[in-house]
Amino acid sequence: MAEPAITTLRLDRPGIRKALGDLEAEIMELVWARPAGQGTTVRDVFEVLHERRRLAYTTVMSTMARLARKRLLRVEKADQAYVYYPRFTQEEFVSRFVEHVLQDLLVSFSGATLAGLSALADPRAAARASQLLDEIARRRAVEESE
Amino acid sequence: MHTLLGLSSVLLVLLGGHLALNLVRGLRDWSQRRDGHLLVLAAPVVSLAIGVAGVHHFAGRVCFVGAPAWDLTLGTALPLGMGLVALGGLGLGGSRLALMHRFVARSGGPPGRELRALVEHLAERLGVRRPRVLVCAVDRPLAFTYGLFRPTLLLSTWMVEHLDRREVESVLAHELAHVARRDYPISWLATVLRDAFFYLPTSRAAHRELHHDKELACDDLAAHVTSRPLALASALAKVWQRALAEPALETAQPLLGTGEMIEERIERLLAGPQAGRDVWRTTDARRRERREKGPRSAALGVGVVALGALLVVEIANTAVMLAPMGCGPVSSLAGLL
Repeated sequence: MAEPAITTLRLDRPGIRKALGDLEAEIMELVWARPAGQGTTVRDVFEVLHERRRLAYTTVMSTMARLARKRLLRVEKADQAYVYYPRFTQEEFVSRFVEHVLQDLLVSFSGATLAGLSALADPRAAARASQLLDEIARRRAVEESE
Repeated sequence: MHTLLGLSSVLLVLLGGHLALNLVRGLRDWSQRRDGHLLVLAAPVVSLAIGVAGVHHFAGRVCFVGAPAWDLTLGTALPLGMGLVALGGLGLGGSRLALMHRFVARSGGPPGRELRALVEHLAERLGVRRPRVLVCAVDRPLAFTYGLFRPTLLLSTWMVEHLDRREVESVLAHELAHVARRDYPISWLATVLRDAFFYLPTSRAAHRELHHDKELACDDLAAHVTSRPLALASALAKVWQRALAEPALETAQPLLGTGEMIEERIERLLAGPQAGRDVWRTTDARRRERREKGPRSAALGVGVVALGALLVVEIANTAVMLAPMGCGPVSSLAGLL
C-alpha cells in the first residue's frame, strides 16, 4: 500500500492537524466517521461543512482531490459522482505519521534523538521507576526521622 | 526400536521435569527449591548417559544390526547428537568463565578503605570469608559476584558515586549474600546444564526459576542483614531508572536481572516481610538447622532418591522397549539364568 504523502509537521496544532491542514483534517474526520466500506461524496462533506463555515463547494471538491493525490483517499467513479474512500483507518494513519516523523528526525539528528528515544520506548517503565523512587524517598525520610 | 527408546526417554524426562517443577513451586524453603531446580536440570544428563551407554552397548549386537536402517541411524544419531550439544554447553560455560576473568582482570582496581571496611563488616555478619573486592572505573551501574572457587565482588564507580552509604551497603549485602549461598558456581552449573539441553522446555524453565529465586533470596538476606529493605529498594530503583535512560549492553545485568524482575523486586522489598512465606531466614537460623538436621540431608536424600528412581525407570523402559525384539537386559538376564 502506498504511503501517504506527509510533508509538514505543525507542532502548534493538535492531533491529526499536526500532519494535515485544518480543512483537510476536518474532511478526513468526516470520512473516518462513516461506517466501514461506505464511501463519501463531495456533496456529503459539503452539506456538513457548509453548516459549520461558509465554504464553497469547489473548495471542498479541490481539497478532497488533493487528499486523494496525497494518497489519503481513494476515489471511485459511481454514476456521474466521485466517491471517496479512506486508504487507512485513523489509527493506521497516525502510526504511519509518527513513524515517518521519527525516521525523519533520526536521520537528521541521530545522536540526540536516540538518547531521548529510549525513555520514550518504554514510557510506562520510566514513569513507574520515578514513581517508585519518590515513594521510597518519602518512606526513607520517615524512617530516618523515627 | 532404538529410536523409540531414545525418544521415550526424552519424554520421560520432560514429564518428570514438569511434575517436579510444579512440586518445587509449592515449596517455601529457598534451598529446597534450588535443589529441586538443579534436579530438573540434571535429569537429562542421566537420560543422555543411558542413551550413549546404550549405543555403545548395542553396537555390533544382533538386535541392533538387524534393525531397519533408519532406526539404526536415528538411534545412534539422537544420543550422540544430544551428547555433542551437551559438550557444547560445557564449552560455552568455560568460555563464559574465561571472559569474566579477563574483564575483571582488565578493569578491576583496588577498593577504597571505607568500602573494604564495609565489605568486611557485612561478610562477618553473613558468616562468610571476606571475598576479593574490586572497583572498576565505569560510568554505569555494575555490581556482580563471580568466581567458582575464590569469589570476587566487582563494583563500578557509578555505584559509589550515585548511591548513598546505606544504598551501597545494601547492594554489597546482596552480593555477599550470593557468596554466602554459593550462587555463582551453582548458577554456572545450572547455565551449563540449560545450554546442554536448551531444547528441553523443562530445563529452560528450571533455569529461569532458579535465577529468579536466587535474586529474591539474596534480596531478603540483604534486607535482613542490614535491617534496611528500603535502602536496597532505593538502590534498585535508581539503577533501573538509569538503565531505562541509557540502555547499554551490560548495565548491571547480574544486579538487575531482567527488566520485569526489577520492578517485582522493588515492590517486594517495599511490601516488607510477608507472613507465611519463608523469606526472612537468617544465617543463624540456617546454621542452627544445619547442626540439627545435618547438611540439608533431607532434601539431598530426596534428590538422590529421585535421580535413582529416574535411573530405574529408564532401565525398565529400556527393558520394555527392547525385550519384544529379543535383545536387551531381560534376555541377557534370561541367558544368565
